[in-house]
Amino acid sequence: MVNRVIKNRNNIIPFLGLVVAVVFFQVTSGGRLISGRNSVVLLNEVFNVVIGASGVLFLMAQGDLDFSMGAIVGFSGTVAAIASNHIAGLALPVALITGFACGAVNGLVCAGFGIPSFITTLGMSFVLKGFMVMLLGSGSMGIPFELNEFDTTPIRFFTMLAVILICWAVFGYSRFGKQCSAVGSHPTVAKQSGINVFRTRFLGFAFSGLACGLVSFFSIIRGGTVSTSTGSGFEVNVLNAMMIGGMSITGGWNSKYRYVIIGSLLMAVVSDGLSLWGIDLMTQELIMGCIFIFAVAISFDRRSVAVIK
Amino acid sequence: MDSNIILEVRDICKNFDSTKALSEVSMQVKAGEIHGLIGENGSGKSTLSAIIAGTKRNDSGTMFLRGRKYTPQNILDANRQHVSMVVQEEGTIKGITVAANIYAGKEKQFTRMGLIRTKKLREAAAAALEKTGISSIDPMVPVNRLSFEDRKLVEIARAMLCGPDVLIIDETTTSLSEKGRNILYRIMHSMRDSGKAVLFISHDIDELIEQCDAVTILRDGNVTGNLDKTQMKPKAMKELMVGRNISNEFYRSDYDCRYEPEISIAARNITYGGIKNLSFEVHKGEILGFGGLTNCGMHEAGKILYGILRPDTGCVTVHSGTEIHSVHEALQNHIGYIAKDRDGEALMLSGSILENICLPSLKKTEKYGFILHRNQMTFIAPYAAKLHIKMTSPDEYCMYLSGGNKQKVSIAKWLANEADILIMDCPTRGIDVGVKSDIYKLMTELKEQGKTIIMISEELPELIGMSDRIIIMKDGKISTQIKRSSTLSESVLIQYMI
Repeated sequence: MVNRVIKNRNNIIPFLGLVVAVVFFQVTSGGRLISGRNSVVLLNEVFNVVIGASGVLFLMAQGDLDFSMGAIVGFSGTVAAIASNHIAGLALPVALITGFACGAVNGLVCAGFGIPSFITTLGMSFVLKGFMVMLLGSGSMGIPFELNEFDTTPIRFFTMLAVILICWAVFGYSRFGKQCSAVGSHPTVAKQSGINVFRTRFLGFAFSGLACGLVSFFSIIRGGTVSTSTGSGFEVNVLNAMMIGGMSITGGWNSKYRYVIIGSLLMAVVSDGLSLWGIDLMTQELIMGCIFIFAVAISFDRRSVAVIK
Repeated sequence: MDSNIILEVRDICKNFDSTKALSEVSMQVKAGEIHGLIGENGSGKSTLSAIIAGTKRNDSGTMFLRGRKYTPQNILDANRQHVSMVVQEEGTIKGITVAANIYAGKEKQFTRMGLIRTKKLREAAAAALEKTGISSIDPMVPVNRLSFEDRKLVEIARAMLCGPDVLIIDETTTSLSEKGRNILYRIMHSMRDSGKAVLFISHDIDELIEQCDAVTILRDGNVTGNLDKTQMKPKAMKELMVGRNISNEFYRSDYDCRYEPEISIAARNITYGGIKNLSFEVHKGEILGFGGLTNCGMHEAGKILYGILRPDTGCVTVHSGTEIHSVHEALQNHIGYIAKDRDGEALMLSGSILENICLPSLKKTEKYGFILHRNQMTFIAPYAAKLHIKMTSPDEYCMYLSGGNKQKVSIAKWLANEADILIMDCPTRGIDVGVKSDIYKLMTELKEQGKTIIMISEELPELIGMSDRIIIMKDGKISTQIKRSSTLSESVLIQYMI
């Protein structure tokens, strides 16, 4: 029994952490955390991160990272805003297509030229931010007012549910999902077993970009404008959620979809709980940073790597 | 206590999770002795040697070195007490030079003001290589440019550095050629003659009998026998290892070279690196053996057939006339490939047995586009059973399996994908007799079913014992093709190899 607990600590600790955080903040906030009004706040808190994490999971399972997520959200949002000022209905398709295209470029550069993902996506993030400034000047851009109608709690809730269901099924129970884990576990073996490693990696990046496109649409219709700060810091939140959820940074067969859910929820509960206490955003980031390091420290499987880098 | 005993191991136990790797193992190694350690895969010999070398800790039991209690904290601590080891799998660090590898962890003696003096390091490394009798290796070459054999020799030089009283050699000879073996044997003999001891681990019973003065036999973590020179008889040793009677003859019993006339795969005028104008045909129901020295091009030939390497000129065709240019095409034409480097190319060690077996056949496990664990279980069950994979559950990680069991998984992978043409690169490298005979039996069975097997091997008895035809390669060219016969001897093959 004790052995099994130790063996499964990667799965148990984040879950326990979530339960503890919920109970702790529920009590200390006087029952306000899980209450009718606050659950909408929680949903909005979780929404972006859960979608972004669902997309990047396919990439992280392959052992790659995407640091351009925030920039893709900003850039897709900008392009979608411009398009929507001509025809309002174009906002969503343009946001998705732009996001997918940015991810596809990442994929081509990484998988095609063999450049490590963190270099490529970091570079990509500067490139996209540059384009954003070129398109927006230094100010911001409004979007048609009617798009704001889509920013309702039911739409958000069902969009999130759909994303969760689709990604859960595709990641855990489809060929593509299995191929992602195989590439993360051992690319050479995957290749020799007939998996198209290039295609798998390419699609992984594209998936991550597509998720960012979706996030960008909901970000701009919520604020009603897009500015150069749209999406900034998004990649850090997503990475945080994944790590806190128990995801291994090297990917492979240990990657599970539930890490996305647990991590996103835990992030949302902690930051919302801290807000309820009246703690400001900067201090919240400090606390999140500490939790992040602590989470990785206890969940990182040191047996799988010979030397810790 | 007998003062002649240099190393004593008493009641050593070691568990991994729930599996007992060693239970109350005791053994005595005398000074001036080459002590053999033999057992099937998973019998615990690598674990025992790792404990002695300080890379693993025992759960209970004690060790004595020259009568004093011996508890090595790590490999460097063991080195300081003059115990060192050459490991079975790759033990060199890629990307740095031979010299840096030899002195890895001991660089301090070459530093001045925190900087390493490369010249001194090179001289010392050259001297170390010289002392071990290896003159062909340049100490300043990055280790990954060396062949597998040369890298092993570098490891041997490194192990000799601490002037060991006890040298552990774990299954090293399987990856060495004649030349390398002779170097190793010379070192072993000089250790024995100077009153030190060698713990020699090997699968090759004949080699063990030839080299060792005493032998300890392990089975499932228990010592089943401590034999001295006079008691070492192959049949008795095999029985102690396996725990059942094993027939001496585990190769094919027939001596007719027979296969169907239909050609299943052919290579035409292939040129790649050292390979020059290579052409051959393999028939349905044939076992084609490929032999030669390690870098004669036979391993590359296997990879070219499977589409991993693209030849500069020439092509590979299957019987329908389709050309093979990629792994994808090879799979579509039912070709399977088992790489020589089991851990590095054939298996995902951090994946489960189930995921490994299913990997090439993911499409077959799909139902309405979904892959369920339950369906995967039923899919692999017949193959896991057929190959007798030892496991507690198919979800067990491959990294915890023994060498023989790993090989069974990688064979099961291709059986499950219903490969008609199976390319096996060193199918029995580092595998004990029990599993070996299982694999040979399976190969014969596949041949009977009309499948084609291409066996690339560095072991001559296996080539002679199993192949319908043997192609011997030398310097990238076919030096001869020999048909199966009962009179074929190793010396004939060697003469074409060198």
